[in-house]
Amino acid sequence: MALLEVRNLKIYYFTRAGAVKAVDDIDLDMEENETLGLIGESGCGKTTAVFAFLRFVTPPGRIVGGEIVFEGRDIIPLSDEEMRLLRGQGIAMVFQGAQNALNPVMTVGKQIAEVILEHESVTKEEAWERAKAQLELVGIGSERVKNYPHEFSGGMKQRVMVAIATACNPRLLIMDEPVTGLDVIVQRQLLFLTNSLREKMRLPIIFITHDLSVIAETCDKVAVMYAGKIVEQASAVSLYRDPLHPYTKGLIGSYPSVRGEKKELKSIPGAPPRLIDPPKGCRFSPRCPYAMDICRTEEPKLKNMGDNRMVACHLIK
Amino acid sequence: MKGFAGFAIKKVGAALITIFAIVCANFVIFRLVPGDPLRMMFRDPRVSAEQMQLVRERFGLDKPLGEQFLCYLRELAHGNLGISFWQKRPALDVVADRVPQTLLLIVTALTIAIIIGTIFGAIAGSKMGTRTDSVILSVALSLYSIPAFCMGIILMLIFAFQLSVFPLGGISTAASGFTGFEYWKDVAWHMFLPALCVVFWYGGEYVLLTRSAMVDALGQDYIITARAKGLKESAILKNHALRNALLPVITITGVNLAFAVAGIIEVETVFSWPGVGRLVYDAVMKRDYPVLQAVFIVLAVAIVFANLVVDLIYGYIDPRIKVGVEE
Amino acid sequence: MTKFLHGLSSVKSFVALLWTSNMGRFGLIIFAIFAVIAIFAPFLRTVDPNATGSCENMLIPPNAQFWFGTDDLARDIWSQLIYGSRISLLVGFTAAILAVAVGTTVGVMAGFYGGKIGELLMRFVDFFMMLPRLPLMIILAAVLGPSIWNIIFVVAIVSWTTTARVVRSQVLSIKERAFVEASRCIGANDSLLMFGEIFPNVVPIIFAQAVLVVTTAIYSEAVLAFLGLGDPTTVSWGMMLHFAFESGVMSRTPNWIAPPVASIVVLILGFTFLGTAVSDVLKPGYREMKGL
Repeated sequence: MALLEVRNLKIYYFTRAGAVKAVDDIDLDMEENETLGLIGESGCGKTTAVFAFLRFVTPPGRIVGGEIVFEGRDIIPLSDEEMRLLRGQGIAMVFQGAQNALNPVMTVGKQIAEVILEHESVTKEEAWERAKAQLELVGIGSERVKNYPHEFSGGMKQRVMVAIATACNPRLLIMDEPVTGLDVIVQRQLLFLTNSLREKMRLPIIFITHDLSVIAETCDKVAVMYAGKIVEQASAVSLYRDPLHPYTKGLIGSYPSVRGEKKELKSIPGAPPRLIDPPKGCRFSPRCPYAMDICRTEEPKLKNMGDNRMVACHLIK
Repeated sequence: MKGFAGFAIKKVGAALITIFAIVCANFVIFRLVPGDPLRMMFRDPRVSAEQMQLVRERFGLDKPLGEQFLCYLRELAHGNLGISFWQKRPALDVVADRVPQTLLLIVTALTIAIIIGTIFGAIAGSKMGTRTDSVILSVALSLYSIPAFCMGIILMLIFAFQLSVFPLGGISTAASGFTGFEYWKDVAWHMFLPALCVVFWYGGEYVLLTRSAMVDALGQDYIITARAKGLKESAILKNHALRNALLPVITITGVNLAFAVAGIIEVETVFSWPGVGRLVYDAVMKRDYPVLQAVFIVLAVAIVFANLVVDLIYGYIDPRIKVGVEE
Repeated sequence: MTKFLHGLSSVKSFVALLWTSNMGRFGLIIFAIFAVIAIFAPFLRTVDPNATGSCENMLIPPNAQFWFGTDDLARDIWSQLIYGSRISLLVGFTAAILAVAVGTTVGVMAGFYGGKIGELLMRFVDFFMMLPRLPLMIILAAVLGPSIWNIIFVVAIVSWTTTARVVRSQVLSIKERAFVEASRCIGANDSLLMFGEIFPNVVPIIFAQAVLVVTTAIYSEAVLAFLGLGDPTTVSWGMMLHFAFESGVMSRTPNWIAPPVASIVVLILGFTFLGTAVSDVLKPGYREMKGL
């Protein structure tokens, strides 16, 4: 049984100007002990999608269709209370490194302990000890358990977030752009931590980012999202070695290589479409250098190319 | 200097400077009076020129302004704020006599007002946009904007005049000879309406403050983190939202004390409550300038002091200041 | 000159914007009602409110001739009520205009010149804000004497500070923008440019502040009058209450007390709601929210 199966997920934002089709009919699969990377530009819908995995879709957004099956159970029809019990303990999330993601007037120890106390029946002392252990786990000394968030640097605050998210041994961890905005050295430390957690705790992770190099270091499988749709899904290695979708090719090509010859940086011309009124046919067609007539009229479906590769493109047979 | 100690010293220093500025302002205001200040004090035209000259010398009013100012400061340092025209004793004593009654009224009423106001404000903030919120908001806004003396008069009309449930004023029933518990019960009965007045208007303000602080707090990222942890909604509201919302509310409390004074004056006047506020009215009626001056200084200094206390409390509670910022 | 007119028309559109909010509508209506009453006072079956009368006409309860009865000097309460609206609105608006004028001047100077002058001015403003308002007004009024102009002056003196603060911060933010444009113009006269840029952008803020200050001014006049510091020759609602209080017959004459109290409350509530509407309307995103 797959850990997470998403089918035909549709999330629209209903504004005065019309319905913004932020996530339009996507499918995703994830097995246990796998790390899935979700990559795409800002606004492509990846954050909206994973927020839906925690049922965090707030008005004017709404899940209008599809199912999100976690451990064999569709979580969309769950009651608020059932969903609340699942959060933090079944599925946990680490957010983008915002300055304000931690409560400034509560010690970090308390913020870790409260998750444990909520989901498990332990005493306060036990929770506190676990909190200290969590801090050690993420590489922060347990003596800092009574410190406040403002006493930590950005990178350390992210570690605290990881400590909080993993405190109850969740079965799925989602990390939304966890290293964006941190300098490269801190990034590396955090990614190192993520990998070691993955191995130590055998924790399945969904990793969201727009940074290809980060995906390369951490993920087994990658899904590429564009304008609310999944356009390609493959193992990380295959994706890098042999990208199939023109968008993926463009993405990979736009990354400078430290080694290799000096080439001009190729960027993808144009801009992502407005999701209120997405273009007919393939959404990437306005910017695609290989667009054919059929691309502008008929929307390509995700096709299984064998060897666990899926692409949504008319070019690929 | 780090952390709380540095913060405290800065605040105390600022307070002292402000007090000095107030003292100077007080001097200036009373010298601003167009015309001879002495003529104003002694309106009786029978006072002869020689007598006026004597008084002038006695009060040092014939000396240059600079000397007068130093004299004023010196007297102030000795706690001498002038002699009351009306009661013929030190103005400061007259003021001091009234302080306990005002404190009784303020402390009781403000405590109740703050508690009730914060609760309703938190409820309204957490339910922003709903009918509950609109109702609480409109009621609070109305109660807060109605002038305190109008509220007092309305309450008096209804409860004291028409329904005779509460007394018309004063702090206790005259010549009743109550003692001990009976006395305090009587006082409480007298204090009910004026305190209610203060609670309405001050509580209303607190509802508005807490509500907007709650709304701000609930929009922060750490609330999303708290939800992602699967915490109960009540825990999120109490430990995450409210705790952060209270910080700006505490800060504003300090700033608002200056306005609280106006309300106290009005309420005490309407209900003849023998406190410092009512003293202002009495002194105005009797044109007792030394007492007015004394009240002004006492009030202004009290406000600065209260502000200081509030600032220090805030500095202690907010961990960002208490612990200082280190990297 | 065109910029000036441009500023004025933005005032008109501002009022139209206020009409779209419930609170704004309520406030504008109340204001209109009282303004009409004040203007058309002589036509509303009134007599001279200050005219005292003979003994048998004192403290009459409401009847056909005296709709609200008479006070302890046989003055018609109904007339006092109607004419009292003039005082409240007059003092309210005049004091507000004065306060806003002073506040704007200080704010514009502090923002425009900046540096040491600006700092000094702001310290002055800060200090003023710390002084307790009512006691200060009381002392000044007592010292200056009871005349309506003194009252207006006293009220204005304690009300100018918020305007100064608000205007200054607005000027500062405009300065940022204007200098960028100015640097693109070749040799344009700086100060003329600044005034051309500043004025139309500051006018809506000034107008908004004025509404808020009027509320405080009306309240201040009422309080001062109630405490006995008003001008005895011009009977305002606050003074009516003062006389009622001093007369000692308060408990038996609700007809004397209820009308002025109610009027003060309604007028102030109206302006308060208007003020709330003003701050709502000025918040970014208001138009979008209303779908304008």
